Amino acid sequence: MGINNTEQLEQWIDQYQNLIYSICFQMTGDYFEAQDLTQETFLSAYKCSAYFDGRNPRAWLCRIASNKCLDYLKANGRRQIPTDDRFFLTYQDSSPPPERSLTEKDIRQQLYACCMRLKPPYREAALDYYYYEMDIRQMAEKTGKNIKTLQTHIYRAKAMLRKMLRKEDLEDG
Amino acid sequence: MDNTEYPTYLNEYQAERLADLVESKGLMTAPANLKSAILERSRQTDVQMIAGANRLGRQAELLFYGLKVGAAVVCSISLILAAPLIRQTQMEHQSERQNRQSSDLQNGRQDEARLPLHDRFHRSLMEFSERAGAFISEPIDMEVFFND
Repeated sequence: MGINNTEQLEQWIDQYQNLIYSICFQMTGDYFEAQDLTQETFLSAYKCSAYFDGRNPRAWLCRIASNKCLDYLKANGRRQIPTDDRFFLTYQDSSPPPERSLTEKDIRQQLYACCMRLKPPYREAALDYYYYEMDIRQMAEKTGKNIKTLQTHIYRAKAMLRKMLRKEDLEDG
Repeated sequence: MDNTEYPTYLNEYQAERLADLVESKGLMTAPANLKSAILERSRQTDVQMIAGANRLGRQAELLFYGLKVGAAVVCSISLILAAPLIRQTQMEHQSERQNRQSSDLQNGRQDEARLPLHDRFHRSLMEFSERAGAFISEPIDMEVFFND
């Protein structure tokens, strides 16, 4: 084997992260859950790479991602998703690409507004990590804080943001 | 109670279709720090342990399969090599038996019961090995016949 598993993982992330993230977001409709599920998908692929036949990584990763999303939806049991054949028809009938970019922009705006409502030090951590998409090491260099402390701030900020976004979703309808 | 019906897990074909559909509608951009977060997590001990165990499991599976095939090949080769020896032993026994029969005819047949115990045991063993040899070499003879 000419390529080691970490290099393989990096290749998969570079090539398919947008696709997997889009699938997770489409299926869950949750910004944070989509991130977590994308991460879980690549980690599962990394863990089980010994059993992968190497034929079609795109289909394999999509399969892992969709199955993880279904598990999440089943566990939560609160969002309506169509069954088997209707599952694909729903995708074909839904909004065209221009609306998607608007939605993505809206999500970011909503995320920024929610981050600004947090109290320090969670506001800074949430803004840097979720809005400016900074690496945790970059954040540590910028703020001079310990990585573990920053991880805790991000974890708590995420829980608060999630709560806020869900509340807003419920209020919107 | 939740009565929502969920689709079953997707197969490879359905996953491919889903990817095509999502791509055709335009992809969202994953957060820039997602890659580093995944790589960071993949370096942690628990993930490395599971990945390592899976790799070892796979290698052990391949090794076990290889050993099974190897053992089957060794058994086949030893059977092929043993076939002429079995036949040779069988022929030796036959000629020995014929010689003994002819000597018995010449010297007058001895009473079986009067033979010592170890001779009787030896004779039974010889008969058994002859029958076993004939039984084993029967398919080999047939094989030779077919190939001829």
